[in-house]
Amino acid sequence: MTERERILSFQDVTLPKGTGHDSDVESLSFDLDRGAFLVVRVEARSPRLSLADGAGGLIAPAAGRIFFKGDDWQRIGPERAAAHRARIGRIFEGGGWISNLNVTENVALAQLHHSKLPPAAIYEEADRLAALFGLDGVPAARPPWVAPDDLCRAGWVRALLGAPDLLIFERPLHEVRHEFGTLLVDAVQAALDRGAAAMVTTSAADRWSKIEARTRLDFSVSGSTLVPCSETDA
Amino acid sequence: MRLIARIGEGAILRVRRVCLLAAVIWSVLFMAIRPRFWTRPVRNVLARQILFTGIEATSFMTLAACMVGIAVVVQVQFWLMKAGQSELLGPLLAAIVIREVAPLLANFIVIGRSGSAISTELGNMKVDNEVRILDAQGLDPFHYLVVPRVLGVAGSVFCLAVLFVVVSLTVGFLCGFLAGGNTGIPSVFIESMIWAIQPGDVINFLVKTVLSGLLTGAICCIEGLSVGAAITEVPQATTRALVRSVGALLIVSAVVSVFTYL
Repeated sequence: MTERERILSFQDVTLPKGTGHDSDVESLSFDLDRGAFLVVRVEARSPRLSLADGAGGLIAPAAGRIFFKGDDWQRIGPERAAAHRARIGRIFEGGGWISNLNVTENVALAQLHHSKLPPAAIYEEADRLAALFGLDGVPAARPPWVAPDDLCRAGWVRALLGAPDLLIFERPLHEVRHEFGTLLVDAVQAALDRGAAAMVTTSAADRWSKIEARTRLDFSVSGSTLVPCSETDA
Repeated sequence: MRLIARIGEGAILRVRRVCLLAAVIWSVLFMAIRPRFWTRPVRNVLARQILFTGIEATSFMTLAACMVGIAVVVQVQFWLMKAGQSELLGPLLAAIVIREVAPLLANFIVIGRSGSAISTELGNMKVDNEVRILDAQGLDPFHYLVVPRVLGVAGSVFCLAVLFVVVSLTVGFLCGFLAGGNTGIPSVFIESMIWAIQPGDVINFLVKTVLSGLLTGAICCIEGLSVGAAITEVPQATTRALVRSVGALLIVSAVVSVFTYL
């Protein structure tokens, strides 16, 4: 697997706590290739890690290097970094909504910014994903006025819109009803099958046990380090 | 020695601030002339900014222009007639309204309405982590938040100042006419105004509106985005933004007037 086919690579990375994080991450190394799945098992009330922001190049590592599709986040300019982040689908812990946009605008924002697709095609794909997750279209109201369950699933739509290369999900099943969780797991499986990589932080690791990936990495949190639970190749 | 050190620190801080402002405005203009930076969301933000700063301010600006028109234009007409210097009407109105009052008032209104809103909005976005959310999705916060706001404010200030000039002169002429003054026919009034406008007046007007608008937009964006994690920092940032914007406006106004007319 060449560096360019590798989606994400952490090389002995120590990430400091950033804004909104409760814990740093020390001496972490792993590689995520196409079709690879990484689960970070956290407790329900465990501190928020800086792992997702580090993987997205938003935090500079205190030590080590983080590569996305062969590029070191700290060695590329802001335009290239933004183009790379366009290929990352994120579910943010706590929602992550822009309050002066309605949910539909929030969901389509990145795609409208980065792609040349007509808005109708983007909204059509968003509605298709929304239907997949049991929503009757993407909600059109502002985020505070949308039911938490629907808002959570709209976040899934946003993360999967545009068929991203890397999925970074922070506790994606946290505020949604149990019966919808399977729908997201199936969507992630489909993304892995088409060659994306996925990294999920979850306090419900058993919900992700049926994922079949080319490579599966399991970590659990021990203080400020991530300890491998197991590493299995398909 | 400590006093000298403090003075020096203050001076260095001010110079750094000016350099940051210049860098922001330069970057905004650099991005503005490149079509690839004008993505659909960025164009939407620009349109919303123009709507809020420019279009929604037209009624208030029109009212202000009417008041100034009545107060200034009528007074000038009256006293010039008394002094037997009616031919100076055009140049005097150009000097007062076009050179000084219109750009200043347009900027003050925009600073009060939009400057505070921009810094408050961006400050709240910082506190709520929304700026990080944008960055995480590949939307450079400078590109998406700052560029359209700065340009929207600058363009709106210019347009509002033009509106101010037209309305104040029109209302002033009508009031003078209705008051029985020797205003002459409208075409003569308009012609006297046009002939009174010098190239220096145009440059003066452009710089005082566009440059001041750029400075207001940039200052308010910088202060809003300088907020940390505490919500209490937002009103402090807004206050700083307003004070610094007014300060910048007065400095620009004075400097431009000196350079243009002395």
